[in-house]
This record gives sequence, C-alpha cells and structure tokens, in this order.
Amino acid sequence: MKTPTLVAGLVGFIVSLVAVACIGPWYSLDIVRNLLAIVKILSLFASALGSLVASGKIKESGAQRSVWLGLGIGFSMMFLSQCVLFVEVTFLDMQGVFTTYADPLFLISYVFLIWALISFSLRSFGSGLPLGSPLAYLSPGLIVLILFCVGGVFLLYPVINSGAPNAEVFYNVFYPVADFILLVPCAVILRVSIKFRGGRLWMVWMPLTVGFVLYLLGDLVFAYQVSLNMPWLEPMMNFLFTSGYTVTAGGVLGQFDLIKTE
Amino acid sequence: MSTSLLDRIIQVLTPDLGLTMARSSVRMFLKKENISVEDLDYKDLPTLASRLKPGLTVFVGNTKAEHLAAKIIGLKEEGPA
Repeated sequence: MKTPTLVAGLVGFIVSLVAVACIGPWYSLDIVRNLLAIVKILSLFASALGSLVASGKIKESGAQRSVWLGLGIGFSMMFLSQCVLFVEVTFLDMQGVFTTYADPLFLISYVFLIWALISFSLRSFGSGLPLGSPLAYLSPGLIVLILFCVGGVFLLYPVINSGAPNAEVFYNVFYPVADFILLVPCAVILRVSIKFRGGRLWMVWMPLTVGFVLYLLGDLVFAYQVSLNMPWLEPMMNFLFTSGYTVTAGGVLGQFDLIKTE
Repeated sequence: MSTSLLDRIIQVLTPDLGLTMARSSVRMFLKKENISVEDLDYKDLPTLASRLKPGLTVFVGNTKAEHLAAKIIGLKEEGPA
C-alpha cells in the first residue's frame, strides 16, 4: 500500500475515533478528555516536526523552504501551547479557566501560519502554471474577505458585548479574526489544490487547508462557548480542534512523499 | 509518435501534479513555444523542461523540479514508445 493511502487511512481512522469520543456520554470522563488532548498534542508535534524537517530537506533557499519553515514555527508554537494547556488542565486543575499562559503562544503561532500561507499563495500565483486568471485565482480569498466583513461583525457582536474581562474578549475576538485572515490564503490554496487533484500536491494542500478551516470553526464555537457560557458546545469544539490538527498533520506528512525523488 | 511523446511527458508529471494539471501545463507551455502537439519532437524536450521547471519549483522545491525536468529530457534517450 502506498504511503499517502496509509496516511489518509490513519487520519480517517483517528478522526472517526475522535467523533465517537465527542458524541457519546463517555465524553465527560477524564480519561476521554485526556486522550483527546494527547491526540491534539501528538498531531501538532507531527505537524511541527514534519514541517521543520521538510524545510530542512529543501536544500535551496526560496519560497518552498520559507513556507515550510513558517509552518514549522507556527505548528511548534501551537504544540507548545497545547502542552501548556494540558499541564494546566490535568495537573493544575484549571479546567474552564480562560485566559491562560497558552494564549500568547497561540497568538504567535498565527503570525507564522498566516505569513507562510500568504507567502505560498503569492508565490504560486507567480509560478506560471495554468492556475486561471488573476481574478479567478484571487476570487476565493476575496469572497472570504467579503463574507468576514459582512458576517464577522454579526458573529462577533455577542462576544464583544458579553461583558467578559478585557483579556478574554480580546482573545475571543482575536482567534476568529486571525482564523478568517488565515482562511483568505487557505481559500486561494484550496482552489489551486483542486486543480492538482489526483496528484501528490493535492494530498498535501487539500488536508492542510481543510484542517485550517476546522480550526476556524473550532475557534468560533470556542468564542461562543466561553463568552456566552454555553458548556454544551464543548464536545463540538473539541471535535473540531482535534480533527483539524489530525487532518493538518496528514497534509504535512504528505509533503515527504511529494519532495522525495525516488 | 508525437501524441505518445506528449502522453509520456504527461505521465512524468501526473503523480505530482495530477492528470488535469499535468496535461494543461504541458499544453500551455507547448502553445507558448509555438509547438503544436503534432509537431512535438524529442529535440523540444529541453525547452519544454526549462519552461516547466520554475513553476514546478514553487510547488515541489528545486530538487524535485530538477528531477522531473531531467526525467522529461531523459525521455529523449529512451526513444519512441
């Protein structure tokens, strides 16, 4: 069996298990939550290490190397923040506490992830491959931007007016806004990756961008759960984050199959 | 002969780019070089490979792009299928 098929199968299997863990009555058990946290940490570790190694394997300096280095640093920061969260919740009894020491690390991770994806989408635009007219190329990103300008205000209005402490409101607004900014290059790359369907590039960028979309949805649910005190949203949020991290890791691992020269 | 050469070039690129992008990339660069599919010959392969390489570098890195370009040029030595 080929490596991409194995990776896709493993990712599908883990996401299915995560879904089962999040929809059943067993979700409230500590062991289930801890296992979900470990899946998140391991997925982010795989993404961080995979991206950094991939960047190291690209000998020449240039677009590909800087993109994977940016992704590697971004995923490393996310990995560290999930580790901090795990310690806080498991050993310091800080379940439900927000904001925590993990948040500044998440904030830094977004800077690198956004930079890497914007850099890649701009470079791919200038690649000379038949990716469509400039308008067709940029249109998915423009649509996301317009949707955010129109819908983002309505989505975040209840969060801003929740009366929560300033730091809490800041992060609850920052995460979805950063996710939407991340979604602009993601939408562009998603459209580009569809043109590569059936190829190894498709197996890298499709899961990566789908994973980021799941992050966005997770952050939106998280903002509502924390700001508007909706604890029943937690299993959904946990599913979106855990499956998002797992799917992203699958995309990063696909990069190794892409850059190998047999 | 030319059609089979075109197919072989596309076959080199398909595992990485997928069939649709491999086909449209090759056809686009042939058009840019004013080479018709019917007139495509082994002597055109270095030109085609050098036109494809910068775009491939963006997506697969320089090492892999060079590898693919060399495989396309290498079709010359294998002769017609």
